[in-house]
Amino acid sequence: MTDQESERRARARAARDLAWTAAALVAIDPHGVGGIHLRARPGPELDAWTRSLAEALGERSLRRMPPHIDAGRLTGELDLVASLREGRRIVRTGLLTDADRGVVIVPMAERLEREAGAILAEALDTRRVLPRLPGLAYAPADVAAVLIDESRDDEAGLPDIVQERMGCLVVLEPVGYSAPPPPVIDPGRVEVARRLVREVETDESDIETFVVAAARLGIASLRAPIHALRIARVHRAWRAAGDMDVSTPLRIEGDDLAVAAALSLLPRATVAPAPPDAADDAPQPPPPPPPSGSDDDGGDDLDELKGPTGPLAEQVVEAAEAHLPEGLVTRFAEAHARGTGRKGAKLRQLMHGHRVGARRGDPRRGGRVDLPATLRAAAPWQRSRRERAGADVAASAPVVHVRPSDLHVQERVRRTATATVFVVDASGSQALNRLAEVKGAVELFLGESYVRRDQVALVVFRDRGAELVVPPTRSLVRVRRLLRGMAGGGGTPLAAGLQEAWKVALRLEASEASPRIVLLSDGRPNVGIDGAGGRKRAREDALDMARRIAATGIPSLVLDSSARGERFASELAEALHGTVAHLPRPDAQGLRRALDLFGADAP
Amino acid sequence: MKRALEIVAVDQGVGGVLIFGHRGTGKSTAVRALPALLPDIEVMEGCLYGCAPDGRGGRCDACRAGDTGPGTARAGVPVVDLPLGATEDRVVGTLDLERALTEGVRAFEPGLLAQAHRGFLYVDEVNLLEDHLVDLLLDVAASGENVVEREGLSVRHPARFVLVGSGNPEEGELRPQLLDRFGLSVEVTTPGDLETRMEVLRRRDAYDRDPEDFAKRWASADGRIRASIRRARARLGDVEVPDSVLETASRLCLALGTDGLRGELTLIRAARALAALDGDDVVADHHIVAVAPSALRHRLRRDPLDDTGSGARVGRAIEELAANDPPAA
Repeated sequence: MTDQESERRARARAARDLAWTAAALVAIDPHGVGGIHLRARPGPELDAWTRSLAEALGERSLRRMPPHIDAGRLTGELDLVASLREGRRIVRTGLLTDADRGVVIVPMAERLEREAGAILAEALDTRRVLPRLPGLAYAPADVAAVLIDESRDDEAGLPDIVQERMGCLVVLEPVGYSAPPPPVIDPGRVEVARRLVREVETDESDIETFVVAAARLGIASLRAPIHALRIARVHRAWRAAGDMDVSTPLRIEGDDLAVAAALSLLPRATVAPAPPDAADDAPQPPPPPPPSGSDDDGGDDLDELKGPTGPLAEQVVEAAEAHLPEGLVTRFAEAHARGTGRKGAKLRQLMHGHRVGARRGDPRRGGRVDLPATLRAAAPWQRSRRERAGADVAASAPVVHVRPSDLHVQERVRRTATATVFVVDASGSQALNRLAEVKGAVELFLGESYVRRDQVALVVFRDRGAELVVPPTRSLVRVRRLLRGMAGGGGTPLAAGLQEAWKVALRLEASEASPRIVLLSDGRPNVGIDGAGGRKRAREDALDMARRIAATGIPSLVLDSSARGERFASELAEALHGTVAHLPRPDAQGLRRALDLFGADAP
Repeated sequence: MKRALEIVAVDQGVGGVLIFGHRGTGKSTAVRALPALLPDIEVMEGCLYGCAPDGRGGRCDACRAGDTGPGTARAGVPVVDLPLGATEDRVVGTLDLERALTEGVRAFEPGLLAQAHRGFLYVDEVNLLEDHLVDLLLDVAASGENVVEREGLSVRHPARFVLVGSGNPEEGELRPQLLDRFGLSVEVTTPGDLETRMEVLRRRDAYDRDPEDFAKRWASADGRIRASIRRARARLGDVEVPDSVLETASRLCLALGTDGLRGELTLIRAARALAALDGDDVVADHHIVAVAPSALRHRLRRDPLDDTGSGARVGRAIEELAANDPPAA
């Protein structure tokens, strides 16, 4: 085994142990820790982890919450069958109330429905839920959530609304068969730690450490340092319970700070921490006094806080990194900066096919029976049907008379919003001033399309490759910010641009949007798919990619921005099974007219 | 944000509040703190909708028929969460299945709108809510009455509430038509200075360690806010709005080119509520200036190529107005 390999394994084991620590902490103080966002695949590690958590919780409950659970089941609802049998109102408590003081575990949490996510978030904030039955008061729901996120890197992750509220973010990776078994969580120790949490004292410097460390990592949300502080205290209590060290007062120590930062701060980083040598270059003086009164309205601009990097915060971040697999922090930071995953979750859930109602129909001819709607249809006739059925039936326990004509099936729609993927040539041949026009046109186009709730994405290719500059979004604010950083110049890797756009389009299709690709170029590729120069290869690669896109049936449009029209643009459109238009000045009006070429389905 | 919530707490007529800001800036926390800060309300005993004994805000059918009361009870101001993805049935109410099946009667099962009567309806991520639901909410909020005509039911009940929507503009935007129907809009940013951020953590930590003690320490501050809102409500009817202030408001709206009169009306009502909160008897220009950004910023025409924040544009218009014609106050 190479040194590198053994280093990797040691890191993976450290990460695994951290996941077990997180389980212990959430068992000690479910509400305080908030929950765990666990990135893991189903497998023996995950099974073992879940078992350990259940053991650690002892008497307290651990409930599974399916990601598609409905609001009634989650918060409490009328037990229809029992109510009918008994002839009186019988309420079934919700899953969150059943799990009160314990933990709910959500497998495949990346599929969590929006409504369920919102209800869970409310419970995490307020420790109670409002049952879906009028006249009922709030029911207790003091829970923590373990969200098992099985999404791949390029897929949408957890809904923001719950992800934000998770105290710990943990990755569980396979550690190999030869690895020593995971640590054991002793429920007795958990019990002792629960009593000790309140004894842990918080120092002013602990607070400062987390605030500064969060700022250094580019985390704007205040929830993260709040969670970190809480986790550090719980961790201190956990250690004290292990050492049987009950000498009060308990103070938070370096190890607690590092574990808390590894669980709740580093994984949220939007800026990768500077390498240690950079910190050595400029030894920082102790934090200067806080900035004077004038409150900078600079939004999420945390620059002011990046200056006073407390040496302690540096050390904590460094120590925390040792707990995580190599490269993980950078990966997280990049993902956050790109905005993939979390933002994508929104989009996917918006587009999800969802129930819109019920219609009369026979479930045997397709469709799922909608029980409430069927009963609703039958309800008004009960008295007359009972009378018709005879006194003997009416006298017995309430029976519902349902006729075939009452049957309703669920009606679902797939809302397919149009998603336009712009592929823009930012090479040297495409004059730079054009690029500015294109930016303006895309902004204007989006300004109009947000009324229609359409999405826009923007892929830019230049020099050696392509880049997704604007991931699918409907937000003007976001586009404007992303476009600002867009540069031009270099070669024309058309094939790479098409490939990137295709990937985006396929992802959009998987999330039930209807993608279409708009290519804006002067049609003079000179860089191949592999980044190598050469006009002939570049053209072949582009055509090849175009044919592959055509094979998946994604509609496309080629806008030829060359001064006099380029024959290759037509060839490309043909290969794409798309349309071509000559658009020497890509302004907003021209773009809009050109988009009409998509036909009747165009907005 | 706090000011805006206080203003609508004083005068519900100002309309809904839209809170835009990134995650972790305390949007949900502030809204969820409302019940503790607002004076309790009197409700008719046994009323499903929590109608007021003096009939203010409308009465439901049961109260009109005298089926409720005569006793009254005290209740906290409802702050109801409307989760994304909730069905229309759930929001407006629907046929009461239980009673329909067991008793064979056609009864109405009230929805979230009924629960929010005389309080607040909170929608986190309002920008992601289905459009037709947002339409419905704003419509009911404006009329103060929920009219249900479905499944053979014909029910109307009072539903006066303040709609509070929050969201992150980076995750999608609201249609301009909807924006305009919110009374006030505020943008919250995360505090940028170390000391404020540390203070947030300090207080949170104090709460975690001893919730009862924490509540005790802040009880008097909460009480002061509650008292100031109660006083402002009592004073509201007597606050005068002089013509000169009306003129300032119109000129400001004209200068900004806001469409419709809604902006102007909201501006004046909000300024009046603010004056009441401040303990003033007359609305002055400075009240208008104070509320103008929240009352108007979301009503500006959009210019995708203008990067200036809309709040800044309102500020600029105010300055220009002051330069041209120094206000009397």
